[in-house]
Amino acid sequence: MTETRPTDDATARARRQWDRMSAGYDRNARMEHWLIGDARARLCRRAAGRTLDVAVGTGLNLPHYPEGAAVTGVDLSGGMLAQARRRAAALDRPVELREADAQRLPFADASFDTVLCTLALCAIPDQAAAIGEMYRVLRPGGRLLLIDHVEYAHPPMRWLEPARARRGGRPVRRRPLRLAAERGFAVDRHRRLALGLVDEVVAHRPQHGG
Amino acid sequence: MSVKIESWLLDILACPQCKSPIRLDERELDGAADGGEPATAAELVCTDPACGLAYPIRDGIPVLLVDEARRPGTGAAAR
Repeated sequence: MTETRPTDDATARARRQWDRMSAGYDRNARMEHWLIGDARARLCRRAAGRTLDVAVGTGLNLPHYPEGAAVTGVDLSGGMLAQARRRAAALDRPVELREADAQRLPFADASFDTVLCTLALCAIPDQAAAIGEMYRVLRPGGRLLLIDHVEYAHPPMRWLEPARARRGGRPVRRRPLRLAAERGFAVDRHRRLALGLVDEVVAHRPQHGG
Repeated sequence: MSVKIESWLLDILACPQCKSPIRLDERELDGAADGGEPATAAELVCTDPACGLAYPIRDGIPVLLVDEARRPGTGAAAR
């Protein structure tokens, strides 16, 4: 029997934390709109075919997907998924939900036409592993859609990074754009939102590439 | 409660531990002697015999986390 690699402590801690926060999470929605405007809707509209929503959370993306997208949502937190299921039912929007770790996605290679991850990468302990998994489950030519907080590179926000890292117990975040490019994604479009604090990335997995 | 997963959704599932295909294992539980419909328990089981982790389905949502998986032949979680 192969030895199982247990989930690292940071991931286990994040799971408990998101379970606790799931009930009140949507109170952040107004703040979010002030930060990123309609970026969520703009990105979700580009989803097509078999679509994976990584860290679907309470399902805030669900209202924005086109009819044709067959959406699967994964999240580390069962509490979050319970909220997502309620939202999907209220919207009459079919969605498949799986409790899973973005760093170890439970899907075969090349399973999806679109992979989307909004405002969640920054909360994942090993962001490069998560991006690698997104690449793996995306078919060649398939599209990656990301919105995420960037590492605060300049003062005064730069000064908040050590406290944020301590609080979250997570490594300092990196630019989603750079992580995607390093893994081999071809970046089609990049925008900065929220005065440069948030990245919006549209990319695809090249037809040929490792 | 019977669990329904469309075949293509089952086909794309892979074990998060070893990435082998996964099958749905549904079995009747004992103790349905009261004449009611027999209760069933469903798990998603890794098809690689060397791994064989069994993942629970809770409230209809598959829990595909290695920490929550049961090792084959035991009731114990993998961790």
